[in-house]
Amino acid sequence: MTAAPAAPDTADDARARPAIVFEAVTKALGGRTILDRLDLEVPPGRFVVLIGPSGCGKTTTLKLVNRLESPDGGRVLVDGEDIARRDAVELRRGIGYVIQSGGLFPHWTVRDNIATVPRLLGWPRSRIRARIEELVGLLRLPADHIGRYPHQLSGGQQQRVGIARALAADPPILLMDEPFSALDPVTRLELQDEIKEIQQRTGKTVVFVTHDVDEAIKLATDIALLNAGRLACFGSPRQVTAAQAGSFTYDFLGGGAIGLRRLALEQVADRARSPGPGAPGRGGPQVAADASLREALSAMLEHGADRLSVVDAAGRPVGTLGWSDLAPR
Amino acid sequence: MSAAEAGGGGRLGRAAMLPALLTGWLVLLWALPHAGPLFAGLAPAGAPAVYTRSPLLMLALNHLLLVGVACTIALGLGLGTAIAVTRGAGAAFRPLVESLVALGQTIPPVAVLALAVPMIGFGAVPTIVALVLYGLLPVLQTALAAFDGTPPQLKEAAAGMGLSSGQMLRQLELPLAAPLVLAALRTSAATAMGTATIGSVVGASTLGDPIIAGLVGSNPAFVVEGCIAVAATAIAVDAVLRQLERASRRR
Repeated sequence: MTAAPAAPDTADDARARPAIVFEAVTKALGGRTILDRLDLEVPPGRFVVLIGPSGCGKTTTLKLVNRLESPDGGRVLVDGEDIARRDAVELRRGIGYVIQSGGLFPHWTVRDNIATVPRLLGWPRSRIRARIEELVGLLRLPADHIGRYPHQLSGGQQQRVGIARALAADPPILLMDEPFSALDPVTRLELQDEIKEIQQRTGKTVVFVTHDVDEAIKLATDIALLNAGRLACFGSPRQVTAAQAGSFTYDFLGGGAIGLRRLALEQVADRARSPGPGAPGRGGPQVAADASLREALSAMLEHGADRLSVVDAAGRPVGTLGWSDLAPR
Repeated sequence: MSAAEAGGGGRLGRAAMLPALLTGWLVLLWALPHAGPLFAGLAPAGAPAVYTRSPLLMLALNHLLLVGVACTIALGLGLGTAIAVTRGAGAAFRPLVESLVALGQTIPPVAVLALAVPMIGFGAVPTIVALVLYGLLPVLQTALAAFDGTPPQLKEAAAGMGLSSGQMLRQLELPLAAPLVLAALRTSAATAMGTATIGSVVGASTLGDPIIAGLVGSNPAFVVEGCIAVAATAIAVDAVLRQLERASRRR
C-alpha cells in the first residue's frame, strides 16, 4: 500500500531521457482551448496518472501521445523523437492503448482481439499463440474463454482482454483512458491491484487517465493534476496530497477529506509499536500489518477501539497501533 | 454443454431445410409443364394449358442469371459508393449521390426499359440496367447507415492500435456492416425477382415469358403458371440469401 518505489532504471540514458515529453502543447477543439501551453515530462517506467476536473484536457493529453489528436502548437516527443515526424500507424503499433469499456471488436473472439497488434506487425503464428497464452495467464483470464466473443464476457473480463490486447506486442508505453470507470467497485479494485502489479513487474511506462482521486492515489507513482489546460501540480501522491489548504490542488484532492487520503498512503507496519504490556488481548480488534492507515482508522471507528492489534499475514500478532499513531509525523 | 448440443441439433434441422426447399423448387419447375390438366380450366378452348415454347427450367436459370448479375452490380456499386462517400474527400458528394440514387428509384421499371432499349437495344442488358437501378438504393442506404453506425469507440480503439484506414475498413467496418447489407440485398433481390419478368417485354428470356405470352394471347393458364414459377424461384433465392445473412451474423 506504500507508494511504489521507482522502477529501477536499466541504463543512465534511460534516466536521462523521458519516455514522453509535452513541450508547450496547445490544443483547441471546437473553438475551445483544451490545452494551454502544457509542459509535462513522463519519466520512463513510471505510472503517471492524469487527473483533473472534467474538460481539463486529460483525455486529449493522452490522445496526443498516439496521435489520435495532434497539437495546434508545441510538440510531443516519444522516446526523444517528435512524433509529428513519425508515421502515425507505426507509432501507434508501438504504444498500448486501453479505453473505457474495452472497445473490443465484437465480431472477433478473445483470441483474435488479443492478437490484433501482433498480427498487424506480422508475427509468426507460433509466436502469437505463445504470447496469447502468456497474456491469458498474466490477466488471469480463464483459459477456456479465449474462443469466446466479447459479449459473452463480463465487463471486468472484457477489460482484462482490453488490457491483454494493449500489452500484446509488448509496447514500452501503455496509455489507459479511464479504463475502470465503467466497472463495479469490486472488479475495479481488483483490476487496480492487477494493473499496478503488472506495471511494477514489467517496468512499462503507464499514462492513466481517471477522474477518481482514490484511484489516482492508489495507482500513481506520479500524479499530474491538470486544470484549465495546464499542469496544476506534478509529483508523487505524498507530494501532491501535501498541498496547502486553499490551493486548487488541495481542493481537488479532497479538501476537508485530504487527511484521509494521506492516511491511505501510509502502511500500518510503518507506525505499529512492538507489543507492550498494555497490548489488547487476542480477542481484540485486529488490523493487518500491510493494511493502510485509512483502513486502520476505519477498523477503530467500526470497533469503537482506540488501539488495534497488528497481525501479520499468518495472523500472528506483531504489534499494536494506537489512535495517536495515526497522526502525521 | 447439453444446451449447445441441443442448439446444434436445431441448426442441423435448419441446415437440412435449405436443400429440401431447393429440391422442392426444382421438382416444381420440372413438374409444372407436365401439369397441363391442372390448368386446363383456365386456358381458352383449344389453346395449350402449359407453356412449352422453352423449358421452364431454362427460363428460371436465365431469370436467376439476370437477377444475380444485377444484384452483384448493385452490391458492388452500392457498397463501393457508400465506402467512397463516407471517408476523405468523397464525403462532399454524399448528399448528391443519395439524391441521385433516390431519384433513380422513382422512375417506373417500364419507363427505364422504354428509355434504355433505343440506346442499348433489346435483350438482357436493358433489363439488368433497370434491376440495378432498383437494387442500388436499399444497398447504398443500408451501407451508409451501417458505416455511420460503427461505434466510434471501436473505430478509435482500432486507430489507436495502429490499424490503417484500409485495415479498419476490411477488418472492422465491413464485417460489422455485412449482415445489414446482406439483409438489404435480400430485399433488393426479392424486388428484382418480380421486376425481371418485365424484361421479357424487351426480349430478355425470363420467367416472364409465359406471363407475357399469356397476357398477349389472352391465356390465363400461362400467366398463372409463370406466376407460380416466379414466386417459387423468389422463395428459393430468399432462402439462400437468408442463410448467407445468418452466416455473416454469426459471432
